[in-house]
Amino acid sequence: MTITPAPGAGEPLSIGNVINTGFRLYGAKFKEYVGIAAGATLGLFFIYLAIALAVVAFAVAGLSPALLGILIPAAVVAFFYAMAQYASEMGLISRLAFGELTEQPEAVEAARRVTRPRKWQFLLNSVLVGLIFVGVFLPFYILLLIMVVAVFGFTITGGGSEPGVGAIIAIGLLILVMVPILIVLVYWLWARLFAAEVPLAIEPGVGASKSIGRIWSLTKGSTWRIALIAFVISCIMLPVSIVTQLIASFLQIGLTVVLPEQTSGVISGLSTVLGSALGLLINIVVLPLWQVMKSVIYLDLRTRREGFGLELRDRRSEF
Amino acid sequence: MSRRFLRQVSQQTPESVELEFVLAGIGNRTLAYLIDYLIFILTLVGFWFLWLIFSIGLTSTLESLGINYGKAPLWLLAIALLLSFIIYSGYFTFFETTWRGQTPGKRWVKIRVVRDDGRPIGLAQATLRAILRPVDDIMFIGMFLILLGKQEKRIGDIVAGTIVIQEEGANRREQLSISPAAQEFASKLPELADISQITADDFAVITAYLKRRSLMTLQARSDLSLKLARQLRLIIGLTTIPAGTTSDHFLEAIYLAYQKQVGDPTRDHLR
Repeated sequence: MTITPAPGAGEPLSIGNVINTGFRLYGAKFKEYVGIAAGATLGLFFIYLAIALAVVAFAVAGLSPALLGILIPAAVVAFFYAMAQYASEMGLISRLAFGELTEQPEAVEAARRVTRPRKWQFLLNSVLVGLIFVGVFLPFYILLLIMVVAVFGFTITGGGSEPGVGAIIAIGLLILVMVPILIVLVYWLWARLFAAEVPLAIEPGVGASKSIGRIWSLTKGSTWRIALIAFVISCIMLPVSIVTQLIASFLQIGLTVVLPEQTSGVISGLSTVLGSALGLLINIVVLPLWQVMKSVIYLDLRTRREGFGLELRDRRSEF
Repeated sequence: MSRRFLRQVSQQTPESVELEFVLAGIGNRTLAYLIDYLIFILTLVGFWFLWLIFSIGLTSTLESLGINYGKAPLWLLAIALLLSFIIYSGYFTFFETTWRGQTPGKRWVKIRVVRDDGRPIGLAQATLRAILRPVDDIMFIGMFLILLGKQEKRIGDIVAGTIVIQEEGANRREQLSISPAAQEFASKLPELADISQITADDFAVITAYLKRRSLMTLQARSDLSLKLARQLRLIIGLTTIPAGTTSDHFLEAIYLAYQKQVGDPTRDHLR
């Protein structure tokens, strides 16, 4: 009579199984997610292109300065609009992935009706995350800069004298200690904020800053787990980037062989275009994977920290 | 979280018993690989350090004895390279044979190499996998095969006839901390309410909550505890609750009372 519970429902996942789940979901929904990423990336690309063309047209045609007063604000608005749109589409992928993971899948258009109106919140969210990083690390960088300048100052002015050498060694050692600490700190902060836009994409009534607060409290105590997950994913993705690098360099060699008579300017121009196209393509394929991983990590964190999925069966349905 | 995104295979044992395995997957295998390589590299650094000391000692001894040792450094290098390769394949062969398909990395992430039919691997399979490991590492062939293949076999697995699976989570029986107040309440509970209304399903949820509550955020914990307690109170038809009973005490009491009355059903759920 007893019903076996759904295997592992509401159970936290191991580091390896978080990664497995992300890869499997990404593979199952590859077309859908990569399609969204392609639309978002190309949209961003074309708006940038349009702005660049407008600038070139302005420079070449020498239009009246009065027009500049309209063109610059228009370009700024277009720039931020594109960024917001792009951020909301990335959030859309995370939202769709979360729906699949919790067995409440949404149609793309239905999910987009939720994420698109929040696009300015998504933009604000990423700006805030950027500001947090700047706020934390700017003092460090300034301190480091002062120390480096001090070392050079000592070497130039007090070269050879006893106290000068001692000070240089002391500061040099301090720099050697500080740089690794800084790197670890960056990684730590990154792990805590890396999924900062996911609550905004999924939860109702969560704004740009509340989303950051949510992720901050959820990742407490799981920072190094997340950091290790991200490191292992990067290791798995490494072959992909190495292989594409190889393809890119083969293409470059191929170009030099095919066009021996041409000037080197054409070759470098062509390989720049090819390189950017390849970079765009890798972006389109790789970004959805990270968006999916963020959702898996987010769900796993909620399972751990909030007991997500721990529910008693609804008895009314049995009668 | 649901485990349904993990890839499964079912295999027939020689006795025609159908066995279900959850495959290790790219995440677990990469993590185990990284751990094993870290250990292996540290071992190798240690070996070369000792070898260097040994070589310096040997040549100085030969010199003091007045023996011409002109060819010795080349031989020492050759032997060191050979020994490095033996350490490299020996590491995996040794552990996978003696630890029944596990290496330190695999043990840490709880995965295991078994034969296609689920039997433990022997020296032959471990050796084949270790010898073909460098081939799989060329251009990351092994990694792509694991990512794309249905059974996640790298070349070494195909040749040796092995798969890498997750170890069934042997449900470790942890002692739950139960407060004295809840113990007292539990002894009265069977008279006050109908414990038999609780299903094994419910019990599993209660157990999971009690096990994991200490890691939850305070807000989420109190919300969840209250929600579960309210639902369970309706289910067992409890009308009066002793004054000062918290929802956590109530859940602990139900856990104890159910265990006493029905026994621990999670035991039967372990296949």
